[in-house]
Amino acid sequence: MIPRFARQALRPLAALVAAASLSTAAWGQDADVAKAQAWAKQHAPKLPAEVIAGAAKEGKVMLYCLNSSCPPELVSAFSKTFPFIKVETYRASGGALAERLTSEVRANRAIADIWMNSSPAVADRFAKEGLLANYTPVTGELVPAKWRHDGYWYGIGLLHMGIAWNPEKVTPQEAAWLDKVSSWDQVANPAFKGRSAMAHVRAGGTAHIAYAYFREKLGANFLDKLNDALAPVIYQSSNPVGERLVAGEYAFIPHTPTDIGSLATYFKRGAPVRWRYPEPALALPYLASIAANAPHPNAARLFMTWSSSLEGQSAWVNITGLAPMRPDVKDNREFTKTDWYRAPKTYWDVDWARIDQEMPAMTADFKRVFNK
Amino acid sequence: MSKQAVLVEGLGKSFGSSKVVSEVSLAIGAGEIVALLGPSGCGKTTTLRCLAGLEHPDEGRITIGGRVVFDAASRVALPPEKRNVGMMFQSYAVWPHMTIFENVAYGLRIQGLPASEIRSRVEAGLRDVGLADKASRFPATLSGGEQQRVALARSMMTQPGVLLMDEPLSNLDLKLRERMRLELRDVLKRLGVTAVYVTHDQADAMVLADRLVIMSAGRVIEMGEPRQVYERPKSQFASEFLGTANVVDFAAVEADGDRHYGRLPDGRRLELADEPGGLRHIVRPERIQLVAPGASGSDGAGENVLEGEVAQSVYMGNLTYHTVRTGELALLVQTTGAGPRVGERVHAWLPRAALVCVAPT
Amino acid sequence: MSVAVSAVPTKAAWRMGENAPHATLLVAISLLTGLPLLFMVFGSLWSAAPGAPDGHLTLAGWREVLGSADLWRALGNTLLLGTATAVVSAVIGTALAFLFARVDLPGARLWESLLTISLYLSPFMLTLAWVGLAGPQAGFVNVLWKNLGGSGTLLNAYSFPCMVWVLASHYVPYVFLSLLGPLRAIDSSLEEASLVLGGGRVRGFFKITLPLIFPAIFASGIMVTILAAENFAVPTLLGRTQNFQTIPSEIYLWLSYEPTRPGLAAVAGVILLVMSLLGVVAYRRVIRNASRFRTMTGKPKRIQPLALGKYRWPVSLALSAYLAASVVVPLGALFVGSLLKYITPNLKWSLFTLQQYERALSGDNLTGLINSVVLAVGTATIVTLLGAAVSYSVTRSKGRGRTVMDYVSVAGAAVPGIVLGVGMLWAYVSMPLPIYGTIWILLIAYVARFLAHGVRVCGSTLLHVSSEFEEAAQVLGSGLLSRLRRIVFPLIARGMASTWILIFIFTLNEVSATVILYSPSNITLAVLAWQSLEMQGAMQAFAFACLQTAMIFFALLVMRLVVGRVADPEAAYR
Repeated sequence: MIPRFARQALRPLAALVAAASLSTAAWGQDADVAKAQAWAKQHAPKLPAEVIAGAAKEGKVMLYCLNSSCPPELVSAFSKTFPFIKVETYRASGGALAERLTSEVRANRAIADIWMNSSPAVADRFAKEGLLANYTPVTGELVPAKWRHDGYWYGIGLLHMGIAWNPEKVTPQEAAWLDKVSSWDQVANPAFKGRSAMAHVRAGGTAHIAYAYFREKLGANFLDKLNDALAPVIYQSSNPVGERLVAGEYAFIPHTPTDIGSLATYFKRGAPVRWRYPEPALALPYLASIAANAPHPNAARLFMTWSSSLEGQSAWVNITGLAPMRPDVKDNREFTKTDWYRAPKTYWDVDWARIDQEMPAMTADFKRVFNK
Repeated sequence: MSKQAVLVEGLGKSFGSSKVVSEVSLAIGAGEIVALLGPSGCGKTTTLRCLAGLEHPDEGRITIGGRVVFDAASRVALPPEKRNVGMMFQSYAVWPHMTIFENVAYGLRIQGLPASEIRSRVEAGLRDVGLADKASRFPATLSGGEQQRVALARSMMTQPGVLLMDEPLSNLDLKLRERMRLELRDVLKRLGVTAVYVTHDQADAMVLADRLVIMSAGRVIEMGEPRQVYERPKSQFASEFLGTANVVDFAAVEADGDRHYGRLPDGRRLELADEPGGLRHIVRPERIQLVAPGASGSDGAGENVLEGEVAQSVYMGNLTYHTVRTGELALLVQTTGAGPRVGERVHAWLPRAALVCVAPT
Repeated sequence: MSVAVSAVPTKAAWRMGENAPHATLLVAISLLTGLPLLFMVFGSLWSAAPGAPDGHLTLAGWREVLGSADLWRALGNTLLLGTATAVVSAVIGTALAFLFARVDLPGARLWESLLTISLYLSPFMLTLAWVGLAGPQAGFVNVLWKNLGGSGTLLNAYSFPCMVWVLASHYVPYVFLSLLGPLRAIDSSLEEASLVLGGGRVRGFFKITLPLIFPAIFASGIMVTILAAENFAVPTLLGRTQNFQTIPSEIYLWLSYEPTRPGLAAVAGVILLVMSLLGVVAYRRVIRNASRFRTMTGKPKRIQPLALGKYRWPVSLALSAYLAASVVVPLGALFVGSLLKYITPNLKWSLFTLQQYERALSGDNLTGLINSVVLAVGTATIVTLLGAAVSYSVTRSKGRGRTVMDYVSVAGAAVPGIVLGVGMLWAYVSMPLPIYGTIWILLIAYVARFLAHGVRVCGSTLLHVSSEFEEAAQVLGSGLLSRLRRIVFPLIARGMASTWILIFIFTLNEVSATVILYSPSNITLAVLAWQSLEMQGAMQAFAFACLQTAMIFFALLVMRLVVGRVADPEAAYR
């Protein structure tokens, strides 16, 4: 029950809002659409005109983003070029996003237009199971072949796994050692026993790749070694580990995502944190795809086209902090300019399908060693 | 239609498996005040609530002001708001969030009367109960007696066919209660109200009512004018519920010419006023007179006199209760002043008119 | 006879007509919580994800859960956490209740309201604060301790005692509030009788007072056990790294991390639900026995307060310390933390920033804030109206329906939030209703979750409103609606106002059902805070928590003002 005075006060306000939204819809949009067409001519010349027209009619796109991958700045970068599309974002962990997409598409109540993840294995499986829409953006070929699955998902940037430490919590000798770490087998350093933490194997794509590498290349008992040497505290996801490292709770993390997430964020804020990439570098793509039955298919297509374009890739890299997939996308990230940063040299060639197959075994192994 | 304001015929009501009111029939004349009197649980309140429509009887018929408001046979049941009755509650039920004026005006507002008429009628009503100066106060600032008068004024406003009162005085302290009784009767009689008054307090009933209806276990035991029910009760229950009664059980009754006697189990006999309908009799303590055995001037000594000894005396100031043992019988006797001492031998005189034959309960 | 009468066709119909509104309400309430729970039971027996077409009935989920040692450990942990919290809350709560009710404590009323505050702060918020305060190496408290020359760790947030402390500091007010009434109702002559017989004050308390209110203490202890056991935020944040899992934290895990197992979550949900319902049955038993000890009849007796004498200052000091540890320090930590660029015990001016607040009040986050307010206002309004209707129906109706309704509404309070979330997930994904993924699903969940509280608070107000007030109006010609409007509503308005504020606050704090059910279009402040922990970091979560706290304090202030204003003419029937 709204009191009468409030109803009277609200009436003109409601009228105002209605009028404002109508008017922008009426004449603001035509000019915006024209501008978007001009953008397409320059950056995605083969884009059919009806995609933009359709997107304008739909007026909205829903992104299912990985935690910390769609900051407001990225949304504004897209909205600057396509102001007639209202961007809504939903952020969760990779697992939660996968779960949501599965249940929503199966129940035939799709909400997502764009689905993102950092697990190519899961994305491949979803493509096979019909949870992703088949679409090849005209700009798709700008994404290196290694980081896309044509017709389904396209990388938007790379995430590297590294070791990380808090320089205020390590001794000079330890710091010297950390600066020289060159391969993953070295990370089980007993000097950091009781002073380290890491993410659970369940934590998502980043954890998967690290544990898959340990298992495949360093042997089944590497987890035992890790546990004996470090006795790490296990967290369910990566970001809190970085946060606690920065706070000084721990000194060392044996594997963690670096480019994006808490480490990069806190570095930008001046927090005491360093990281380094043992070789071979473990990298995985952040990827985007169109969800099956997307309620705004044209807006989704337009988003994919923009994402894969050079402008889009540059926006992803420089706004989110992901590493570029192409050498011609300029890397302006602050930490790449520091004296301690070393760019990765070699990459592990990942067999995503195999990781997906081995997940149960990896989980069981993890549980055996860490009892979690 | 008759002059009867309220007619109750064969009323019955059960809660679950227990029958709380059975076969209650009652005719109340216009302007008459009837008290339903009985111990708690006797069904008097339920009967009243059935009249109000707050309870739904199982059987019987209720007519108020010539209008059938309930009839189990023809399935008529008017809700309370359509019965035009007034009701006063034990808790006063004066609404705390309204002023005295608003409380009293409530019924008239429901009827949708014009404001000016409401004002004049409420003011008149408040004058009737002596609260004209407190119209704008909230109930919390009034005493219990004043709240009760508000409740009275409120229930009288709509000129109900009958005023139903559920122990309205029981929350007042004794002094106030004695005064309110008289006031209430005054007002009711002045306004010519037909009223049903439920109480378990015999003094309330005696003072207020034109007629008493004694109830027990859901049934009407006896009814009649207060004086008649007190002095010539037909039932032992009524005699004991109204005041105190000595029960005298004769072994036999016998006639000697046109005189009638009751013979006690020990052989002594007492003369009775009329031919008795049974063996059980009662006699009120204040009707027995004590005389010292040797004292002179006791008129009729030797006739209906029982010799005995004072076993116990309870002195209460204005009067004294003595327990007099005579043979197998223990009689409670009331005297003014101190009277004989414990252990003294006395003669107890039971005037023959004081012995009332009652139906045993 | 020329009188128009409303004929009543049959006796049965008359009864039906009388009970129809009650029956409708009963069905509505039962559906609100019952339906999702039924779907959850179904989900626990279904082989596939909710809404999936290719599932079949199976006991595999049950077999897997019951066969796993983890589940049994989690079950033990759940009970342990619940009972430990209950014991600590009961001890502190009883002591406080005694101080407020029976002792001449200076400023007792003020202490009472100050110490009630923590009931309005969610355990999740308190947890956030304690992570910052008592991280073993980097917590403010521990760093301070080290700087003062202490060795080792003074307080460890990631420990069982800390979990218990966080939950207990939230539930202590629940205990003392529910004991104040019984304590004030005990005739002090009972204690005096013991005193006259030579027992001291202390002995009087332990031999007379404590046994008299013990059933009430026990009952509130059971309730705290139920409420603490269902909490998922505290064990998730503080217990996880110590391998301390409870059933709610397992449920959250199964639904949020790969590979997700909604079927197992449903199984665990059923188990948790059964535990809670058993708790409710025990609670009802104890409450029924508690009335046996009620010494209050008619007017409350005058209570002779116990003189504190020379203990005045030590007691006041202890209360201040408790207030600091349960409310002031955690809130202070939240506030300071919300202004930092990153959480660190080494505070410098250059670390302070308003960034978190800017972020919290812009873009999607602003939507969350607005959603929270809209949901809180909507839920509070619906629950208050529905709660008033149900409690009216319960107090005025006779017969068995009343008992059933009473039970249903109390049981509703015992359905754990996370269980309700799981049930709603299964129900609304499966049903062809456009509710899942909208703000409506949260509104429904909140109403279902808090209706029982609404019924209880409104009901306790209605108990003070004698049915004679209404009957008096009825015989004067007032119909049902007019009676409700003119008599009942004004008399319970104050109770409804405090119900409204209470539900408003509960809704703002709700996180355990929300975290299962939220989606982009219906995200709330509390979930934003939860998410921030994994995204922008704890400082951002602190900022959301501070905004939430500010709104809660505002609501409490409004309650003070409203209750103060309405209280006046009502003093009569309080």
